[in-house]
Amino acid sequence: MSVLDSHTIVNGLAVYFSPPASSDDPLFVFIHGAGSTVHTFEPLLRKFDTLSTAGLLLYDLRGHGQSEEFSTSIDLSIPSLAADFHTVLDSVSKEYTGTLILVGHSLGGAIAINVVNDLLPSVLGIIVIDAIEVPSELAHIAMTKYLSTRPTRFDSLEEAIKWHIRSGLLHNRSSAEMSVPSLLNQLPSGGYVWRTPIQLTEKYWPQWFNDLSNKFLSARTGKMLVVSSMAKLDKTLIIGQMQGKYQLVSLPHAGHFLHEDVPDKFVSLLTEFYNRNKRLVLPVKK
Amino acid sequence: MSDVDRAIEQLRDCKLLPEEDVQELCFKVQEILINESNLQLVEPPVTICGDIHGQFHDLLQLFEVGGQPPDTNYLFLGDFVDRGFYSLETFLLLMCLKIRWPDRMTLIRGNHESRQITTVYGFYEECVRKYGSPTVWRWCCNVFDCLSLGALVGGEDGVFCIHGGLSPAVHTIDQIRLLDRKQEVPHEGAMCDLLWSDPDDISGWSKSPRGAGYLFGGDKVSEFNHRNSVSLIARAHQLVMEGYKEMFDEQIVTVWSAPNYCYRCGNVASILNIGEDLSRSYDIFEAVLREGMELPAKKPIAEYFL
Repeated sequence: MSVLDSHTIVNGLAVYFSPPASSDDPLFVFIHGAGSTVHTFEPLLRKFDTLSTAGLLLYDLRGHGQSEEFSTSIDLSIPSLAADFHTVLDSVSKEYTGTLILVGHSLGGAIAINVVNDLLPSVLGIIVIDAIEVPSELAHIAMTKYLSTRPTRFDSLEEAIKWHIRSGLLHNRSSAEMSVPSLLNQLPSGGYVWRTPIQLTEKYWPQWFNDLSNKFLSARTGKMLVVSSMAKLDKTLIIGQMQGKYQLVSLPHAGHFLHEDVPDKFVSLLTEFYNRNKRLVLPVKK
Repeated sequence: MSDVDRAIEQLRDCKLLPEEDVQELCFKVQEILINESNLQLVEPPVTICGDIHGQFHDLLQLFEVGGQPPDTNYLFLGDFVDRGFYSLETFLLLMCLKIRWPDRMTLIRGNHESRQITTVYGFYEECVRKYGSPTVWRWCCNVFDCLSLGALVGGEDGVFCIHGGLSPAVHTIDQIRLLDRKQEVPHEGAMCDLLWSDPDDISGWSKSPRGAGYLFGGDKVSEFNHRNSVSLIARAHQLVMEGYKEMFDEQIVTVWSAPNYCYRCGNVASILNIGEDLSRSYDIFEAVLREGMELPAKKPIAEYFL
């Protein structure tokens, strides 16, 4: 049975949880990006054998997936998204005693970066997937361009899946089959439209990825940044990397949704990261 | 004029050598390197240089500042390749200089002199782009496997030179001599740590956030230096905006020799001159722009970043 099979609603948010097997096992918290849902992590969760005793906590961001709908406006500011994260984590606080690992993709990565220092010392590390600082003035241009190129409606789920592959957004067909349907609502007429009206969140775009590089580097925990292209790193991240402040992984054969494109590789990264960060065992003195 | 002199001349003009010449060079330098010990003994005076990362034009500048080989005795602390656009020219020139003046040019291994790292950080791609196949990359990787792990400058109270730093598995310098170095850099263990670790303001040991190696504190540096009768650890591996950084009562120094790293970090570079009496002085230098130099393209705007 998968953790994604059922959820509870906490403050309007759909929460998916399975506790760690024991108090020694970690709790992985996965946070998806804007416009996405928990199902973006389904392909990797299906391969989670090496971490089968770990607890899992996921939730649909407000206005996303199975969380409550919003009609005209939604507050997707970083402080509100961070508050939601704490609400969700608090809702399961009685059911884990071990350590936390945060895994955030894109906007979810930005949320993780913004909350991580509140969780010390129980957080072992943070894994950020393709969330890269975008100067505020560019954020609007890039978002508008992206939204203007995506269709507003699909005739079928198959068409939506094909569009995600053809546009280069997703590179893995079987992953797309798991994640794409959750992004859409079926119309009474039979067609499909986007579940989350991202265009209504326009005023928050500039703050999502603002000053992210410095905030990431100042997270006082283990840090891994996974990117699809090294060319995305800004000066702050290049300097930080060459000063040894975090672990950088580049998966050049994947796109923005790396964890969907290469889920096996991603699970081995998570396993390696957890095993390395869980405790310090020094080599035996000879 | 020997073949290697001709090769040096050609490389100094930033012109690549024919593939068969590269093969011959790689074989020749391997023969020299394989006979060196894990820890090379170097007599001062010597000029110690940190990471170069394929910044070939800045390497030429380094020689302008530090003196041309063989007039100056050089020790390079590794990370010759990756990131910059001229890793091949850089490494080939250093190999030629090593062949021509083996006793005036010491090259030790950095964490980027590895198959795994060079496939991610640019050297592999550069080889394929410039020679049309990975053959040259393979030969160079075989050379990497022969590089010494460290060096010891001067005798008693001398300078221990290593790319990264200390390892909790290495207490004495003699333990380094016993390692089997002729292999790809492993993911853990002494050899990995020596090439990956960083000093930090902690006490004792901690896992390195890099994903390999350790962080080590000033207490560990003092213990190591005292136990092994060295006065200084000279290492590279970490970008220092000011070119170099001494830590823990000047018992360890980071030397960084790639100015304006990645063509955009805005840092200066340095080299460390160790005198005959083991005195230290630093030369600082900046990045140069030369005609015909390839520069990175403007970063494209992310098309989506949801």
